[in-house]
Amino acid sequence: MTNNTYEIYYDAFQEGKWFQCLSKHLSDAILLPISQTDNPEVRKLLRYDKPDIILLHNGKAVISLEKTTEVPTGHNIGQRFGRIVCAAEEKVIGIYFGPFLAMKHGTYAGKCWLNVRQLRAMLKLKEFHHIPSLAVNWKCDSKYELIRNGTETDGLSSLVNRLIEHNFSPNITGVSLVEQEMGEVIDESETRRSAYKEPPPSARIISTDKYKQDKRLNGVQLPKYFFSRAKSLHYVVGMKAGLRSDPFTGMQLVYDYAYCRTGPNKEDRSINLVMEIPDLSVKDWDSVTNTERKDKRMLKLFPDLLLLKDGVV
Amino acid sequence: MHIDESFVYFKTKQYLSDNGWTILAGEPAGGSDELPRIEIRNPGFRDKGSKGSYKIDLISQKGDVILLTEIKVTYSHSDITKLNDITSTKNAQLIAALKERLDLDISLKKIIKSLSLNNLKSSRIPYDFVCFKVGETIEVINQHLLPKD
Repeated sequence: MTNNTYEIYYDAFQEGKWFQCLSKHLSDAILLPISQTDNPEVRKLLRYDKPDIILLHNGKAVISLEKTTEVPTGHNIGQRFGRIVCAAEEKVIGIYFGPFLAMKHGTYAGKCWLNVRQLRAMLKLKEFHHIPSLAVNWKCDSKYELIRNGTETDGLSSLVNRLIEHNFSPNITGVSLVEQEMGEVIDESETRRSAYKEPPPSARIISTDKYKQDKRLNGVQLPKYFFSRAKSLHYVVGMKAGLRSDPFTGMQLVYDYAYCRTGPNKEDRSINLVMEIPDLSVKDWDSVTNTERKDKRMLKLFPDLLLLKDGVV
Repeated sequence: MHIDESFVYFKTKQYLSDNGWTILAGEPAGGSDELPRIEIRNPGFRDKGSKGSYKIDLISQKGDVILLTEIKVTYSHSDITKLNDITSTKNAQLIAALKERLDLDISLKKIIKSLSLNNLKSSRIPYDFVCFKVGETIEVINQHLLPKD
């Protein structure tokens, strides 16, 4: 293989072409669909979810990128977090490109800011996995509409070019500048809305001892570590229409990294990650027999305890 | 050549741009695009979400003509029904949506309906629809409906 062979694996063709246009170095890149490959360098990044772009350099995965125009409301953004976590675990630079602030249209129109807990979790990903997880802002205009005149990718294009030109070294100025901006956005957001300093009401940190009174745990043997951790993050999710993945399989990881983790493995937690789905019964859970389905796989994999309406998993 | 809906979407955009159309809005089947999305809301649905609303895959303009394009890999009659509905019973909502999102008044403009796809199967394209058949090249059916350069 010659030096500097690039392959752009895409989830959607127009995004593959878009990514290719970010750098002149990618003009000869081969574009390939993620869905059609069995390349292990690509497949390893699909363990939790499917990113939009995976860039290979000389056969090795170097960037995993998530692009979105979605207004950063609620869980719109966190639901994609699994892709970013997988990249970090595989020591691949993860990039999230989307608006930090944008106007939501429709009945509930208004300005929506990014939930900066995700940015905090991304900085923790770097701390534990020693590979950058970067959020690059898709800027908006004075009316909070996304800029769509081509200049919106200037910052991202500059970052991608610098990474390519420095052989994807994570220690370049371009990376530290993005991380600095992420930190500034966190600080500004927490000043604007102090609630961001803590977990949200749906994910409160409580005393682990409270689970000793939970009848659903009668007769259940929990691992010794569970009650050795004084605190647990108790994340309650609604699933009135049945078991589903988005946004919870991604959001659980935002809270995990932002509040629970002390290291790269899920065993490295100082606070338990507990998920409760009060709408879902054990029967509902068991009725989904495909254990490889994303929701079942991810909700079993990460929480220390998964509580349902009438029992535990 | 792997042909899926995102490929047809990209090729259609490229063809329209190369032929003098300005792409105003778009909604790719998968992933995102740099284009704004136009949602024609269902006036009878006031709750959160998009129940009963329409999103048009591509909206383009050339002079006083607005081109609405629905994109699939394989022909689907539901796209015919959708565009017929949008340009008749929901025409007022279409005008309002474009005014709100793009500050564009199309009330006096001509609207052309079109499909873009790879596999036509054995279907017939209605006389009032343009069809872009996307493959290695693009073949245009009912091209006479489009404005001349």
